[in-house]
Amino acid sequence: MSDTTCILRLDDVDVFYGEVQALFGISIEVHEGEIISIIGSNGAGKTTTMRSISGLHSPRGGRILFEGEEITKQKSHQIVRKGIIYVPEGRLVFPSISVQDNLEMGAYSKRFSRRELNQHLEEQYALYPRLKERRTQLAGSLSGGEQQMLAIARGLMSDPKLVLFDEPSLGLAPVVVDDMFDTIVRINKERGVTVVLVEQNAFMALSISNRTYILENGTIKTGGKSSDLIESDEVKKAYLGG
Amino acid sequence: MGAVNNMNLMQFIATGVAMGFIYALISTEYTLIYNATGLVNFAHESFIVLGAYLFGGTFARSLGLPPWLAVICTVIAMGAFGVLVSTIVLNPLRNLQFITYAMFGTMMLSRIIIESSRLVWGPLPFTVQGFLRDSIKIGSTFLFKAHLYIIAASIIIVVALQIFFRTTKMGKAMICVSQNKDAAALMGINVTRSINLTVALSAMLCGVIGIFCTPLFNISTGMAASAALKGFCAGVVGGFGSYPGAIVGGILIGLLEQFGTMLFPTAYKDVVAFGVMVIFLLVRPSGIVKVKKA
Repeated sequence: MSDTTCILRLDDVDVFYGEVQALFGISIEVHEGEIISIIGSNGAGKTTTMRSISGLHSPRGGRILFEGEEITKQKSHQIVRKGIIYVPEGRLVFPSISVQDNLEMGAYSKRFSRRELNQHLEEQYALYPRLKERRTQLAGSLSGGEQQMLAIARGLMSDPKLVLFDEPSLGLAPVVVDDMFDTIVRINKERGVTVVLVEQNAFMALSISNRTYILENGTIKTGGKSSDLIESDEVKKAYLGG
Repeated sequence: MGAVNNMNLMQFIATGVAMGFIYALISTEYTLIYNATGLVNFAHESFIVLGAYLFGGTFARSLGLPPWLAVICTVIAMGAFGVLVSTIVLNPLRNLQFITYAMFGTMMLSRIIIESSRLVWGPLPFTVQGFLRDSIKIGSTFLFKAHLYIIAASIIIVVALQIFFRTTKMGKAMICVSQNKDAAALMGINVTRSINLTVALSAMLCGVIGIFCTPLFNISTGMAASAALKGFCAGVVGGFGSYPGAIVGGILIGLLEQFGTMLFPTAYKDVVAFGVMVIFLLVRPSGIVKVKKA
């Protein structure tokens, strides 16, 4: 990966919740165009890492750099403007406004004309035709899978450079899980979006990503090429069920 | 209100609907803050009083501005006051660990505003002479001019608010902030600023309510006490947190208390609103319009 530029870098990041330390000197590097996955058990600090990058939670120590610029202490709404989108765990769609209004809110940080906005809506509807069928429905009335689609489509409305996916397969029916990962790969390939993926479904995460970091108790245990890790006995034993 | 016999149906309805709209706007005003911050603003009564004092005491009497200009000045001043309150009180309070602290915070704020008003404008109640205090005659009925203005202005405000929330980017952002603050921030919405604007909007609404109360009551520190409580009842009856509910609840209570005077002595007028609220809490605690929560 030496021929591509580093788009996101976490340098020795420490994160606390009150007095409890959640992340201990995490360092992660993401290159442009990559799919990076972060795997680990419950409570390892995966979501905390995502929340720190997206500015929902400020790190106490270390630095986060996006395209060479420090964003460590910036607020979420400023970070969104730089092109980092976080598709959070549990979707967090706006339940009592329509699907289309949810999507339009995704473009809040952009000054689109009505025509550009419609064009962006159509792009997302092409990705998820189901959302087009339901565009006038309230987002709260969608199924879990549809809400996940909406959360992803909403994130793509602002033409992000980097998308952070947090447990996109959580609570989805097994049939839909494959589609979800296919879509993530498509977004990466077709739209040139760099992806950081946090997953409990370690096998899926390893199979679609270029590189993987393994988080354990708030520290990076190992990291490397996903194709190597998927063959490693240690990883097989701990995360892939033997 | 004593001569019930001399009032006919038209007057009854006009009075009931006008008071109902005042309750509806009060309910809307604190619903705005409740939805945006999760806090019940116990200082809202004092916001209304401050609006009335600014309008009556400062802009209309001391500065002698014409009513329309005094109204505009009051609304602008209240908006600025809202941003100030939001920045130094409500935004810090909503991040506290316990909601009780925030409750006490707004109660203290209320005392500060009321006592400051007493210091600035003096303890004696006063009126704004000539401001909507006359009646007009339609057929054989005399209608209080203030009631008609209140009804007309309230309808405009309610419609304008709906348009604002449905069509403008700022209004939609406020709705999103009220539904989920993290998600709103992730859309690129500046949550703190959006809350400041919501509180400013609420304070402006309080200013308008204060102006509406000016021709109905004397301007004094206690002028909005019963209206503020009935506005709270309107919210409970209509459905706490719902804007359409606030309107329905407000007008229902306004009309019921007016027609209640036909059945009970006028002295019991205030009991109606609270009685209706108690009945709703027992029978249908979610109110007329149920608020959907995700």
